Formats: sequence, structure tokens, C-alpha cells
Amino acid sequence: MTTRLALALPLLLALCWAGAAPRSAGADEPTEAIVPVKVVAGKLVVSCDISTRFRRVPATLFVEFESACGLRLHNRAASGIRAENRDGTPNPITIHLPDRRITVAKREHGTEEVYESFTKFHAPDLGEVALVGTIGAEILKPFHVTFDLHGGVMRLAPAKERSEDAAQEVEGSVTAPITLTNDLAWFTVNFADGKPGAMAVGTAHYDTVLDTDVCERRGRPAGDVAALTVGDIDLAKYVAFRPEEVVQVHKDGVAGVLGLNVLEHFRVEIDRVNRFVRFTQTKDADFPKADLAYFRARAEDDGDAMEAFLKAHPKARLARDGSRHLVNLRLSEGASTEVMGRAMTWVNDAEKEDLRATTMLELMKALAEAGHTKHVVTAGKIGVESGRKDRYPDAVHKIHGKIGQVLLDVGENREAWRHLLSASFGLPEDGMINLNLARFYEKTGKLRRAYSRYVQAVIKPESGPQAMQGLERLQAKLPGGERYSVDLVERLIGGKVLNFGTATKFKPTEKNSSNRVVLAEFFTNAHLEAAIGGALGNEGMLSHFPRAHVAALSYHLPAPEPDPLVNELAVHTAQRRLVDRPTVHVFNGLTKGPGAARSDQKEAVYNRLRGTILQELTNASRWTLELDAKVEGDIVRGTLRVKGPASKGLKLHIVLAERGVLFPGKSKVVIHRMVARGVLTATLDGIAYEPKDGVMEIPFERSLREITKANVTYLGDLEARGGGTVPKIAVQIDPEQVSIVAYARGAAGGVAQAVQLDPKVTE
Amino acid sequence: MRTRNVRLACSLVAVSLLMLAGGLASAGPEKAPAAKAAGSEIALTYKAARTWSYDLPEQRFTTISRTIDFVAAGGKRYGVALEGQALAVDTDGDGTHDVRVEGKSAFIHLKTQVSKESAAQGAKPFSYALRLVNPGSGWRYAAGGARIGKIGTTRITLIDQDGDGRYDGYGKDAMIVGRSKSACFLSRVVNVAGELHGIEVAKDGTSLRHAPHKGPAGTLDLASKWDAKAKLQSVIVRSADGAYSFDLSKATEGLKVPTATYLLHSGKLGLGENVVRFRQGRAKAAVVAKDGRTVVAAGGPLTAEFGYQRRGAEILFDPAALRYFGRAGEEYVTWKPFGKSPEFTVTDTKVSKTIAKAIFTGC
Repeated sequence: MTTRLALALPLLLALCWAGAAPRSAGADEPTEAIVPVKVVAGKLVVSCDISTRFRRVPATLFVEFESACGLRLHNRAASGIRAENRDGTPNPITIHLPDRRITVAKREHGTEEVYESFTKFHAPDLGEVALVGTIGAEILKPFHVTFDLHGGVMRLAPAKERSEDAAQEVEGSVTAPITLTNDLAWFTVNFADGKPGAMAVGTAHYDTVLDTDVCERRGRPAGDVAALTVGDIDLAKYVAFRPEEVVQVHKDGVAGVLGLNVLEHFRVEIDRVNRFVRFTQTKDADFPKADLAYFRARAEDDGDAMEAFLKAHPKARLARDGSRHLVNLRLSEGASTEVMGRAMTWVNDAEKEDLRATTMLELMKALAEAGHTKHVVTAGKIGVESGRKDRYPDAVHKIHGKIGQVLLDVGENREAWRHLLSASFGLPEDGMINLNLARFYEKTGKLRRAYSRYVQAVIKPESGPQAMQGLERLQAKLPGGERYSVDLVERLIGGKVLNFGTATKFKPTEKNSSNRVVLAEFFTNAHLEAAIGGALGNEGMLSHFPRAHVAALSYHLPAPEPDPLVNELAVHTAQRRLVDRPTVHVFNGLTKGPGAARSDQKEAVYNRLRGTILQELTNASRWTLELDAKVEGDIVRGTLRVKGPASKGLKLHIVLAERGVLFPGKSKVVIHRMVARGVLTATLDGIAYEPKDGVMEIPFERSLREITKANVTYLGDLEARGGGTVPKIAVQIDPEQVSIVAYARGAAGGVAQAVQLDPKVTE
Repeated sequence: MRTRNVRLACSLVAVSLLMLAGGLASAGPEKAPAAKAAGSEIALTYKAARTWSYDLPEQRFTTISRTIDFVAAGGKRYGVALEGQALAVDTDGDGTHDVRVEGKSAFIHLKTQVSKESAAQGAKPFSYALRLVNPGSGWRYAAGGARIGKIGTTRITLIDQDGDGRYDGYGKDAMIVGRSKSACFLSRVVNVAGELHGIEVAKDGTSLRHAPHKGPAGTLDLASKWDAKAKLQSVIVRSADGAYSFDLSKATEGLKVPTATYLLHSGKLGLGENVVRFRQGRAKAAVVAKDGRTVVAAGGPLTAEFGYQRRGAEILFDPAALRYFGRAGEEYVTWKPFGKSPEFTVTDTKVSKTIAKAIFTGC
């Protein structure tokens, strides 16, 4: 059979894609839907429900008439209504507006950070219903839409019939023809010199925008053109235009995009069928001088100009934008502490009273990242004043924590302690607050208190590595203390971290086992968030099966980012097992199982691992492996004794592992189990099995320091190759934790037999 | 299993850029003349850009390993260390870490002061803002500020695109002439208000000398014949020797440029929030001759090329193997949002019967 492939090209440069066209449903629905809308923080929003056949939830959505989208949804909202099936296929979503239901075939991904931030800052204005998405042009364009923001509604009527008379002038209104370009409705505006330009109808932004190129060409960088008329309406008398780049095209040249500030003064009716827009005034003009003052100050790009605007218009709508702009300008100018303090006070004062601490906390973080340490404390002290009134009670504690950290760094210990203690009352489990309190106590000689705080800090990824170092330092100083070890830390953090133990233990019988010891290899990474589910499943597996039946190893791979437990052996073994991601278990060299999942999926992971092991256990092996080893000081030495028939290509591997390694990474796994550290054979590829009289003995001896040194060198090489920065902690091998795993692997990759031994440790 | 590539010419009627270039090739490329020592000098002041809005032709982030080294640029070696998931940075080069960066991105400012004695010997303070990102594979940095000055009333912005701390990397660093946010490569000649100026940038970026460019010039026009429904936001060309570079997106009647052989490097088309970038792809060189006018037709209609694999009775299409080329050979990449999937139709030509249709899911 001959096949021919033909490609139906999409409209490649009209980039929008919104799935199938929306359907408006419901015979019981009135002809025209009157949908209440409101302007919140400069955005037009609508309250509604969204649903699939599985679930219906309340939602708040942006209304963006000009945005090239259908229904955009936040992933969490989409997940809540099961917008997609497990295989990714979409489920139709219905938007339940008052008087109108609109169904779309699929959703689009929304800008989650924008939605989350908007909800965080404006939740009361949204009736505490989260802003989770956007309704765009694909939804609205089938309708005859009228925006009446003064009346607080948007009217959605079925598209009109084509009519010669439809676009006629109506007394008291201005009717202008529109063109449709790239799904936007454009009408012509005229500048004072009579030159025309195209302006799109829009609702995505509060300010009406004039394209920066237009402003520049007219010598009006602040957008303050003398006039901009549609019919006999001069828009320049109603609003100040915001100069911004307009990324649109129109054959008559783009002038700008209409904003909500014009729509607050006019009822605007858009008829896409008969191609007109009709403006009917609903509110008297009251030119916003403060807006113009802001755009002028912004165009000057100068701190003094912006500060002058704020002094003249401290309560203006754009004072919030202006104060943030001022901070950036002052930082760029390298302003003094006093001048910066003034700018930051403007930021605080321009914010709603119950969001001031939250806002100043965000400013502190930005300043700290930029290295403006002294300004961090100033910002924090301004923010603390409003802490009690803040909508988010944690904000003030986080501010105290940040101030404390900065002051501790500059040696103002007593003042730092005051702030840190205050922070810890509100956030007792915060890693950085506990770490900084520990540092303070250690500095001031209160070692037991310091120790206790380090323990609380060690389980958090952001503070864990430094807390580990602190614990190790203090353990040596504390009188009569137990030797610092993973086992000690594990006892101290018991109950504070996720773990998983099984209720039952494996009971071997003749039916469910043989002489087989299954080799279970776990490929993971300390910074892979999904590693936690795999690690907990692995922990369950280790607690269920005794070592006499399962020999375990874990290998850390350098993706998504290297951790200190990565080594050459791990990467080499992954290649041999055809593993390219740190997300799998491999049993007996060939059979794969899950190694990554959410923490609440640990049991499912464990069950799959257990099932695979149970299958493997019944395959008797023709070989037996016996290990004899001990650790003397820094040296591990011993012998592997293998019995069984000669087999071409069979190789013997002896791996040194640590039963537990403390390293808190982003995965939230704090103690890593059975971490492979290095080989006890001459090469990574093992030793060929060459028995004499059915037996082969392999003596081995290696220094732990030598293995550590090789691993640190490998990490250094990884860094040098551009692999990122790796902290050199958790690289030392604790002799008390040493475990040895040996296995025999055939030419086809299968593991024929394995054994594990925890060697005796002598001084 | 086998793999085949199928190339389709979908009603492509394009002006052959190769022919166009060939017709003018006799002019030949010229060596870039250095700016004359005479002329005016303007000061360039450093401005950190906390809200990064510049669009660079070759944005690169450098992986941070042990230090951020700006010694060759008059700065120091700034040490870094990981503290948990945070990156600690010595921002003043005194050997101690004074800033701790958390999260997935950050903005920091490296500053080194000089003593009066050092200043008397010509040492200058060093100031350099960094954008830091940690996409999950370790921390990386790129320049977070620019050197800004004016030739007449036209703003000149220089950006250390290659991250070496210096601003005199012609053909490597980036620059903007005017108030646009789209940068071209640092060019030895710039077009200011229609006139060409040769420029010479101090390596530390503190000043720039400029003088009228006396060399031969012609006009290069990529904008007037660019067929697209979207706004042409940048069209960056660079001469073959890297000496000259310009953004031609706003030059709807062409831009006066020094005679040279130019290559389309990259650019951007936008429509509202939708963006697609393009790169040279198979676009041929355009030669600008003395007093000549070179017009290049690019944009739509596009040609699509794709590969497929047969596996038994199945045919597999891979989105990664789908490529789009414009009239001039420019290749369109990085569609945002990802464009609508093409529809693949499998036909039995013997009986003219459609066997199957397929699209990429997830589009």
C-alpha cells in the first residue's frame, strides 16, 4: 500500500488557539443575559460557577474582551472540576453566568502567578472566591456585547441579524464603524491634527493605552495628546492615556486599546455582525489629573519627579504603582538610607492598611536578594508597624525573622535575638528562624539551646545543611553527649518528618521464597520533589523485607540538579540499567518499578515494589554469595565468596553503601537509605567470575577517605563542566553506617544473585 | 522501523533571497572601519534594571560554579556558596558572603569600591547587577543592568550580553538605539536619526566615542515586505564579520546601513500575548552595496517540514520534528502559546481514500 501524507497548515501567524468554539446553551435562558461585573484593582471581573460533568465550583474570572483566548483556568481550579482526564483528554467545561451558560470544549492554561497574587491581595473584594481564570475573545465574540460598567453589568445577547439600518446614528450616542482584525474590534480615532489611528475595544486593563511609538512620534512620551476623538467624543477629556507598547497590527496604524476608564463613562455596545460600536455617555467627564501627573513623572524616569507626584497625589489610584516605581528608581540611583526610607514609606502608605506588612515583606525579600541589607531592616521596621492589622498574620512574624537574620549577620546579636524570638512565637517550625536562633545561642555560648534549635532546623531543606554543620560542631562541644551520628539525628527528629513503616514483616515459606536475594536498586535525587513518594515506598520495602531476602542500594543522579550524594558509580550504574531519570526502582538489574510519586501515594508505590519482589523471590539462583567484612578505622576489608557454575559474562560487583545519610533536600527526604558510595573492586564494571572447583573468592580492601575523596573530586568535575554548585556536606562516610552489597550480574544485564552485610566496626 | 523525512512545499511562492543576494553580490563585503579617534565622547551611566524588559538577540545565562569572575572587567572574583537551597554571594568581593538568594530567581548587585589611593592610580569602582535564575538545575546568571547615554537626543543602551563584565564585545554584546526594548548586537556603526555614526566603546562601558561614519552605505529593508498578521517586534541582522548589527523591525522603508553582507539573526513577532520567535534557519545572506537598496521578502506563507516513523501498522508523528520556515528561509521557533496543531491526513493514493487523520494532542 502506498501512503501519502498531506499537511493541513494552520493559520500560522494568527497564533491564537482556543479549542472548539464555545456553545451557549439553554432554551430556558433569556434572549439577553445581564451579567453583573465589577472593577477590582483595575481589572474587570465576573462571579460565576464553572463545572464539568463531575463537579461544579464557584469562581471569579477576569473578563478580557481583547485577549486571544477562550477560557483560561488555573491548574488547581481545572483539577478541582476534572477539566482533563488522566490521559490528558479534555472534558467540556460550562461557565454558569447569571442567565447564561457557555460551554467550551477545553480550557487553556492560565497565568497562575497573576491569579494567585490577585486573589491574595484582593480576596475580600472578590467575596473570598478565588480568581482562577480569564474569559477572552473566543467566548465573547459570538455575542452582541454591551459593557455598561456604570450600571455594573455586561449584557450578552445573541449576535444580531445583518441589517442595513443597524449602524445608524442614535440620538445621544456616537456610532462608529468597526473593522475586525485578528479578532479585535477596531474603531477609528482622530488626533488633534486630524490624523487617524485605530483603537481596539478592550477590557483587560483599566487605563486606555496609547502606543509608545505613537506617543514618541508626536513628542508626547507621557501620552498627553491634545485630543483623541471618536465622533464628537474627545476621549482625552475623560481619561489620561497610558503610554505602553501595543503589540497589535491594523492597516490604519495602531493608536491604542480602550481601557475600563473609558468604559466607566460610556455604555459601549459592540455589534460584530453589522460592524459598529456605539458609545452612550453614562457619567460626566472628570479628567483624572493625578493619572496624567503619574504618566508624566514616569516618562521623566527620575526619582525626584516620581516623589513629587506622590507628594502631590498621595491618595491617587496610581500612587501604589508610583511608590514601587520610586523604590526602583532610588535603588538605581544608589540613594542614601534616608531617601530610600522615604521611598519605602511611600510603598507602605500607598498600600491598603491590611496588606502593608505583607507588601513590606515582599519588598524586604527583593531588597535582600539585591544585596541592600541596610534597607531590608528599614523596610521591615516600617512593615512591622502594620503587622497586627495585616490580613495575613504570618507576615509580621516573617518580617521579624528576616530582620533578625540580617541583624545577626552584622553582629547586632541582642537586637537580632529579640526579633527572632518574636518570629518564632508565630512560626515555631520555620527552618530559617530556628537556624538563626541556633546561631545566636551558639554565638552566645548557650549550647544546649542552640542544639535544640539546630535539631528543629535540620529537617527543613532551606536550613538543613547549615543546621547539620551546627549539630556536628555542637556535639563535640557538649559535655557527656552521644557521638554525632545519623542514628542520633534520626531519633531527635522522630515524628517531625515523613516516614513509612509497614505493619507486617515478610514471612518466608517454601512457596513464596527460594535462595534468591533480590537486588533492589533505587535511582533518585535529593532535590526532585516527587522523590519523596519513591523514597517512602522504598522505606516501606526495607522495613518489610529482611536483608536475607532483599539487598538494597540507592543511587543519586545529577538531575534535576546535583546533590552531594551523586557519584560516578551512580551515573555509571544508571547507564548500565538504561535509567535516564532519577525516578525508578530496578529489580535484579532488569525489572523496573516506580521511584517517584507524591507522598500520599507512598503506599501504592510500596505495594508495587513488594509485588515485584515477591515475583522475583521465587526464582531460585544457581549461585550463592557470602560476604565477610569488617571496618577497622578508615579501612573496610573483607572477602566475597561465590559458589556456583561458571557462566560466560557473569561479573561480580561489590558496592560500599551507607545505611543512612543525612541530607535534607527539596524532596523533603531527610535521611537517605542505602546510598551507594563506591565500589570495592578495581573497576566499576566488576570482576569476571572465574571459579575454581565451583568457587571463587575475592578479597577487597579500601579506605573510606579514599572513596570520599574520589566522590568529592567527581562533584568538583561536575561543577567544572557547568553542572551547578554542590555543597560538600554529607560526603563523609560514617564507618558506623557502612553496609556492603555484592551481586553477580549476567551478560544480558540480569542479576543472578545478591547479598548484603553490615560489617562489624572496630576502632 | 524506519524513519523518513517528508518535505512539503505548501503553496510557497517566495522571492528567492539567494537570487536577490546574488544579483548584488558584486559589491562584496567590506571590512569594518574602526571608529575614528576624533569625534565626541559621551558618558554612559550604569543603570540596574530590576524589572528586566530588554529583549536580547542571544540571551545566555552562565552557570555559576564557585565564583563569579569579573577580574578581567575591572571587578573582582565574587565567591558563591550553596547554603541549603539558597545561594550565598559575596557581592563586594571582600571574601565574605553578604547576600543570600532564595527561590527560583533573584536580582543582586555586585559593587566594588576603590580606595582614594587606588582611584588616584586610575582604578574605578565596579558596579554590576545580575539576574539570577535557578531553573532546577543550579544557579545561573546574566547581566541585570545596562550602560545608558545619549547621542544627541537618541538614547544608546549597552548590555553585557555575553556576561563577561565588559561592554566592548562587538557582535557579542547587545545594544539598543532609541527607546525600543529590542536589542541588536553591539555594532561598530549605529544609525541615529537616519545618520550613520561609527562608535568605539570603552571596555568598562563608562564612555563611548562617536563620529560620523564616512564609509560606503546602502539601504537594507526587511520590514516592508514582511508578510505577517502579527506585529514585527524585532528583526535583528548582523554582518557576516560581526562588526555591524541593526534592528530593522521599525524601518518600514528600510534602514541606512554600512555596505556589508548581512545575515538575518533572529527576531520576534507578537500579537497581544502571543509571541513567536524566528531565527536564521535557511535564510541566505543579503548583500548591501554602496548606495544600493536590498529588500528581503520574508514571513508567510510558511512551509512546514516534518518527520515520521513507521512502527508496524502505526505511523508516529513527533511534534519535535515539525519545523516551520518562512519565505526567506527564516525558521519559526518558540511559539507561545504553542500553536494549533496541524492536521495530518494519511491517504491511500491508489483508491484516493483517507485512511486516518491525526493531530498532536495537548495543543
